[in-house]
Amino acid sequence: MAGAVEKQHEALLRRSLEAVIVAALHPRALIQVVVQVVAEDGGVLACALNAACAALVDAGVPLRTLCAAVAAAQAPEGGGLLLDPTAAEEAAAAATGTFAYLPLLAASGGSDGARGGGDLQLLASVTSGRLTTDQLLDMVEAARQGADRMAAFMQLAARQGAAQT
Amino acid sequence: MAAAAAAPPPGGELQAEAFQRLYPDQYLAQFVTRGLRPDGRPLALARPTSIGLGVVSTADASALVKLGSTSVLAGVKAEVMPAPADTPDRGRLTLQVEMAPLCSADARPGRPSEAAAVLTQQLTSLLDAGGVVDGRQLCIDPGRVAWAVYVDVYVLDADGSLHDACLLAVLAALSSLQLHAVTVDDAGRVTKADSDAAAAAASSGQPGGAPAMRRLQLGCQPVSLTCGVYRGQLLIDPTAEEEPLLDATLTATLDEQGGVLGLYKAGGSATSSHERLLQCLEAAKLRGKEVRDLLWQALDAADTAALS
Repeated sequence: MAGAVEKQHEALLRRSLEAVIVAALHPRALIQVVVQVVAEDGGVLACALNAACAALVDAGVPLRTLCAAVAAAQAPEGGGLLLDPTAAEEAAAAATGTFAYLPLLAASGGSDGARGGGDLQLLASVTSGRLTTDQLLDMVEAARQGADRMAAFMQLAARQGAAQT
Repeated sequence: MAAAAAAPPPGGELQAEAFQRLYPDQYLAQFVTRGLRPDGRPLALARPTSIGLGVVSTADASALVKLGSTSVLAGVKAEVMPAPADTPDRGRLTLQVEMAPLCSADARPGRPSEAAAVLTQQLTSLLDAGGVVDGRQLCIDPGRVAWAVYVDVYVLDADGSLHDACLLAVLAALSSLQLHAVTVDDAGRVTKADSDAAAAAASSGQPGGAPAMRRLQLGCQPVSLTCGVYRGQLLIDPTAEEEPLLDATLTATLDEQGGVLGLYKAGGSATSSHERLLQCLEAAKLRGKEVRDLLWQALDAADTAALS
């Protein structure tokens, strides 16, 4: 059914962004986020969420923290876990998942922020296909590490963007 | 002196209802801190579930599932179609979820709601990617004809845990679906074997007597459980009253071997830790056992009724 996939992505994006935006600072205001997929090669939902978050930072909308999303796939038949799969890898995968986190951000000018106490901070997730419990937990953990790096990069990009203007 | 018996304070019930309307969060908190919910359930108990099969006589299979007040009706219609050119050895299953305007005060007639579209997508993806229905099961004659199965899901009363109720209704309906034996002659004419004639042919020992009807072989039986996180506690199977107050909602779908077919968490103000995920998966596993037992009972009862 055309549009159902987009509707699901929209619902996930909206609820995830609602958790991050400090809406109380903008009463009686509408924050509209429009996501246009320019090219698709796997991990579309994760990319969309990262793009939306980066756009909100660029717009100066106050956020509680950055939100980073990562796509993952479980290769079939004893193959390993793939992070950020391409479209071909996704299509061949036994299972795929997209996970969004609220990663700990490095303090400005400080050293790499170590993750306190193994806290997962899973904000949103959607999976498809069959995973064993162990595979799921591995996927969630690996995606979390990917999200940490994603958030560090987003922070860097945001700082550079702010420095230029 | 019966009049001396103390009467309850006037408007006691009215006060509770008013409090719930005005301060829904505090109302729920009062219960949860005592390990209960407003409807009297403990935190880790799902609502009474019932499955009714064959409720719609015009459908090839149907199921009405009630999860507390949440009511969902699934109807299945199977039609013969020319085999698709790109996948000649597979049939097709099309699923659609509709939220009837009468299901909730928030539902509006006309435009399909976002919730219905999300459920449609989730269930379609589950049946397909989760390996529940294999398209090859729906093949009649490769390259020529195949089954087109249409599953329509109607939410009649939306009182929380829609994903759980809809999935169960679809599972129950598909589990009870019987496909007619179909013959295709050289001219391409399709004849559905008459169940009486086929039974007669089988009993008279004619060769090649394939069964008149066959059940769809499902790859697995997925059951989902929606849990809510509220003030650090896990609430299983939240009602529509509880859902907007929750900090986060997790829906876990597991098959009978404990394989995870879906983990859906759409934002929410609370993030989940490892422990929370494991807690949710455990609860979903237990619930899955309960629900599959119910489903088997319902299928057995329907079979017995059909034979007698």
